[in-house]
Amino acid sequence: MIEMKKNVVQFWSLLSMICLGLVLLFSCSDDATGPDDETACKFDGPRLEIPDTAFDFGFVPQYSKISHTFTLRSIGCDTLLIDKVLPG
Amino acid sequence: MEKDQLAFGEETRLEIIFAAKSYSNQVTRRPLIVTNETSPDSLHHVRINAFVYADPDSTDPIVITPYRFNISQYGEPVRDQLFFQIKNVSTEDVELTVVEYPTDLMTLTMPTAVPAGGTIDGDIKLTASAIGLEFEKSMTVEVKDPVRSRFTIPIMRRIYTASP
Repeated sequence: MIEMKKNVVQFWSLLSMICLGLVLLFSCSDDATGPDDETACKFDGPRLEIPDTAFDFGFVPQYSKISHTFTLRSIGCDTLLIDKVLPG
Repeated sequence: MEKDQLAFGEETRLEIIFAAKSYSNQVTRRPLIVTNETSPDSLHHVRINAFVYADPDSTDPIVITPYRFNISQYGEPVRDQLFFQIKNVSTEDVELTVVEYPTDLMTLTMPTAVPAGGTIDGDIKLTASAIGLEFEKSMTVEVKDPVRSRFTIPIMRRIYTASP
């Protein structure tokens, strides 16, 4: 009888530990500051990203002035300084 | 450019202005953006392409008139709307998509299909906040043909006041 009680206690102890382990595992996987976090910077120093680097105006009349706006994004850990834009 | 210093995750907008002058045919420009990056691949170019034409009636498969949108203010009453036409000079129906236009300055209304040989009417109307502004912008439309023909129309506004 005593032996049976010991087994029951051991069973419940084991089950409790497994549950605790599972809780810890799932709570860690939702951690927003983990190494795979997309909101953390991945590049040392300043780094520029231009999502779309080309634009085609197609047909344009002579003697006209037209414009297009490009998006520039900073993806480095340090502040990006845009010094100048040289006409190409 | 709105900002020249960007922290991680910040964005800015860089407006490239292209003056077609007396160029003709295919023109490509590659402005260089100089930054404080030190990595070997830190040279950043953007590229713009245009096909500059002299004869406004020579484009195909559509002809847009007027070929420059001038919505300037010459006095009273307030001028805030411009009408235009798009003629399909091909033998097939065409579908159009608006690639971009200055949505912060105006609203654009136009059908997206033009029957073969037909003409459609469209208009741009300035927003209330744009009426007091001068600007030089443009509108780009694309035809859903095999080569994805694009057409860019300059849109300008000057405000002229009567001399005393």
